Amino acid sequence: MLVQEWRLSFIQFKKAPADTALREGETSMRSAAAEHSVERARSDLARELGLRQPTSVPTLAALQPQEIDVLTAALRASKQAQQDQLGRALRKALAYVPSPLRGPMRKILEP
Amino acid sequence: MSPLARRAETLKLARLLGTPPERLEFLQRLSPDELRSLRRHCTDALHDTGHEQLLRLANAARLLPVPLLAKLGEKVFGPLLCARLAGLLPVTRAVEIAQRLSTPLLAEVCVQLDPRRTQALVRSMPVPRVVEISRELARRGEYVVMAHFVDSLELAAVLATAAVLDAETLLQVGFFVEDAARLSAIVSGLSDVRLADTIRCAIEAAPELWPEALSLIATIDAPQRRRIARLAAKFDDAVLARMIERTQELALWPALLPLLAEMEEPVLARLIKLPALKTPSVRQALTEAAASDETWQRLAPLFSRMEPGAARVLLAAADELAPRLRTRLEAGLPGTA
Repeated sequence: MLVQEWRLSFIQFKKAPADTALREGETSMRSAAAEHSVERARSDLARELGLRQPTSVPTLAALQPQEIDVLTAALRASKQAQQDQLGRALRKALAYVPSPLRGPMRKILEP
Repeated sequence: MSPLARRAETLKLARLLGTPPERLEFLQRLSPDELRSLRRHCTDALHDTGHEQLLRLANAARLLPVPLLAKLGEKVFGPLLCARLAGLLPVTRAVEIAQRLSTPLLAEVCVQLDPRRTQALVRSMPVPRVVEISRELARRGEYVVMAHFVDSLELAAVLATAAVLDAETLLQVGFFVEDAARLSAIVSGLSDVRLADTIRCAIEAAPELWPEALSLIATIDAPQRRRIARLAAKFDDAVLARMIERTQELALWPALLPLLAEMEEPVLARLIKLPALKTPSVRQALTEAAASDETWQRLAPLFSRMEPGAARVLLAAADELAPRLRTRLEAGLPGTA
């Protein structure tokens, strides 16, 4: 019994610093992951905004990565909706052009 | 002011992205400047979509006669394409085309325009046409769009428009205007009667617009704020009481303080006698707001006119606040130290 208790306390003694180190490691990994996640979210937003440098994006320091993602998704959807709407208007315009001009006009309008 | 400015900016961004404002509620944590910068980036990103293609179309459009282009705009292009092309055509030509388009279409084009990119065109539009389009936008409740144009149009056109809009629309649009100097100029262009009616409207007829009115009061320059304070002094007690109650309901005391600070002593004396301002919770909210605001010194007459009993209640409430406030209160309330 005594030996067992001694072994247990020894194990705990040996384990304690390792646990602390592990916890510290996990914390720093988590914070690195969070930082990486913020950077990733800001970089996605920068790309959607058409900015070459993510640093040009407002810092948005008060926001969580998933909140920045909501913004990015809303912007992406809005851009796509505009692109579709413009595409439809351009196709409609092309249909109104007299046939001899349709070729050159198509060339002007093609993306 | 800041929470109201943040709210205005969040609503503008939500509108730009076609997203329900509730979905972007988290943006309330950003400063108005951050939100404004974000919105400008988003506007640019949206307006740069398909730019090359549109540029080629605009160049081709230069070869077509104006009546044909107007007809195409009305029947084929639709508002989004018209709006994008408007910024790419020479201004005189764009104005000529716009003159031939119907008011409903032009109102829809305005919704899609970026006024920053089309400022020369917007400023070249004849004033009667601007007024006509503004009426249509107001009818559709496009207050954010109208506010963007307030920042871009010539002042004469804005004042001519303001003259035909009702008080509620003025408040709704004013809430979203960015340029404080422009807003002051508009307020200065309103007659005393019109301005008083507008503020009274936000207290009585449309109390849901009281935050908009407070935002306007906080944004305009001191001389115009003083003018509103003078006009408010002529309101009867029932209207002033309603103003206090509404401010308390919405926890907007920090936004009302700039107006109270411009009021003359006799008006403050009238205010302090109103039952609405005798409620302990109202007094505490007012005290807290004043303590954290630079207007404290100018509001001293209001506090010094409180009856001694009320002043003691106020001091008891102040015990729960920062010691700095206690010192300030004692300085403002003679005989209570």
